[in-house]
Amino acid sequence: MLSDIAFNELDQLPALSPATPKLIELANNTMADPKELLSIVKTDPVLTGKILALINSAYFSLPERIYSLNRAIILLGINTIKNIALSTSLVNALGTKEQNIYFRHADLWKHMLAVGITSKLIAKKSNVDKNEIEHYFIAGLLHDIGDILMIKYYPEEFHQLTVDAKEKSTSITELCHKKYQTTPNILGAKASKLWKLPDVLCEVVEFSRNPTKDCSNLTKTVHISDKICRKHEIGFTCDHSDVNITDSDFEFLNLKAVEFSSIKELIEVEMEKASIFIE
Amino acid sequence: MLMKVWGNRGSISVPGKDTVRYGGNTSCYEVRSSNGELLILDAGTGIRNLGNSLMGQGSIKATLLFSHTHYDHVIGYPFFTPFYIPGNEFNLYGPVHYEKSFEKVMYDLLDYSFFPVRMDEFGSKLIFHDLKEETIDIGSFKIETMYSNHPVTTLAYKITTDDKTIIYTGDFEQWSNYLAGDPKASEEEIEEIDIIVEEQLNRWIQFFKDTDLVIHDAQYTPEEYGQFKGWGHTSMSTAIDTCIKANVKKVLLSHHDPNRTDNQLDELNIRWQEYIASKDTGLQVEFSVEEQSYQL
Repeated sequence: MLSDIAFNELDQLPALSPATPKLIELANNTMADPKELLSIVKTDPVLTGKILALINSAYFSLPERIYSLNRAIILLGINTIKNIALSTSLVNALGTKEQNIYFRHADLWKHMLAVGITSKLIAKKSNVDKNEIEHYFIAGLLHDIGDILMIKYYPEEFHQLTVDAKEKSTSITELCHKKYQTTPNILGAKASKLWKLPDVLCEVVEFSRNPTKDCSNLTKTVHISDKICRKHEIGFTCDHSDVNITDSDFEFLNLKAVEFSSIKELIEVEMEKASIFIE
Repeated sequence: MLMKVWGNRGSISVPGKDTVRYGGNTSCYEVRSSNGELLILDAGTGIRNLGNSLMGQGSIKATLLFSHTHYDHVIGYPFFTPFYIPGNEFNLYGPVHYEKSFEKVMYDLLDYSFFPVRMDEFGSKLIFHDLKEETIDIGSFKIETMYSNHPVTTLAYKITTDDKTIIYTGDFEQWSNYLAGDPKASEEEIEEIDIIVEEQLNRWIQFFKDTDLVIHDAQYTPEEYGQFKGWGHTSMSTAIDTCIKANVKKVLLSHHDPNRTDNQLDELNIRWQEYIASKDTGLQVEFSVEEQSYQL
């Protein structure tokens, strides 16, 4: 059963960023500028998830849930972050070449990063409180953490689902639910809860593909960001359903679709900045 | 309450002619309540002399509070003679590390490749406790902890008994914005971190508020601090300014740099007395001296 995944084995998830070799180099170099290391950490969904899981864990027993990566970095200290980055980077990569998933790492990372960047751009446009803008980035970065779990624990099933979804121009969510009575989002949310990620992030992971009207603006923003990135084919996505973006998508923010007509260029500029360490 | 300094040196013990007055042993402090209950803060090399001073007084029951587990704060622990005496009982509290429990870290320190005696061979009873940010009561002592800022999980301790309060910072470096001045960082991110750092500093000052005695890491002069930023220690001026803001009565500047000589500490003492005199404050500033006692 897909639901039997050993979610608590967060340690077994590898870093996703294609800049992982650079990360290892920086973590091993005592003279390296920690800012460079942190800039890679911040663009990796698995590392971000692990750091947030650690700061929200029983080890620290902090009174409030933390979902700011910068707050986690300040509290844990750069040395601890460095150790987590190094140990995560050394975990074997996901999947195998034969399953053709190995080559999609960079694309999956690109998609999750792009959704993080897009969510942040939309948050800025909709005048979200300055102190919360980075949370939008983190939520977008983590939204497909369920896909990473699927690739790690069920590579063959996941691969087949993505092939089928592409053939039928549909979403993997629907196919997965029909076949296994669960979805990557449900698995991701289950894991996020177990890792004690803040509730708002768990909601994003569970509902970003199909938000309900009761979902937070954060989840709805990540949802529309995901659609924008799919429309512009930025990175890998296992959702191949039609993408049609209209004004109704932005209604909850009192914005119009036309206000985002040049967002692709803005995303590309930010993606370029985040990719400087990729060799 | 009584506090006695048994070790105040940072990083490594430095016996010799240049450290004979202020002391060369690494971190260890004794705290006694008026009814004789014993707390020991850290187990640097200073704990050996403390242990010897306790011998011949009958069975010993004491609590050891560890700020963190870097060598200079734990290395004296297997040389604490009372550990070897059957009938003695010790509760040891320290910060949990995300990879290992406090007990496991201390156990590994006695691996046979480091030391010939295993923890199981200590004759006394040792009970280990993982500590987080919390408040606990130990006898008549109220112990409050706060996560400090150092390259490993570190706790600062606030100890209250007999209506008096002592704070021991352990090793500590002021929180700062690691993206400040980075042209590649976004304005929002720099602002976000500024707010987080400010919150942490305010919590720190609140933790210190109206304390009678603070034993503060002050390894560097302000001039030296720039080249050691990120090493996890504070400049003397930062330690003093924090205590002024928090209305502390007395601060003992401690965790002396291993290269600092007695004569240099004398000169620095003059500098900081002049500094304090120029401020509108009742704070007393001293450099800690090994084997000196403070009655509160």
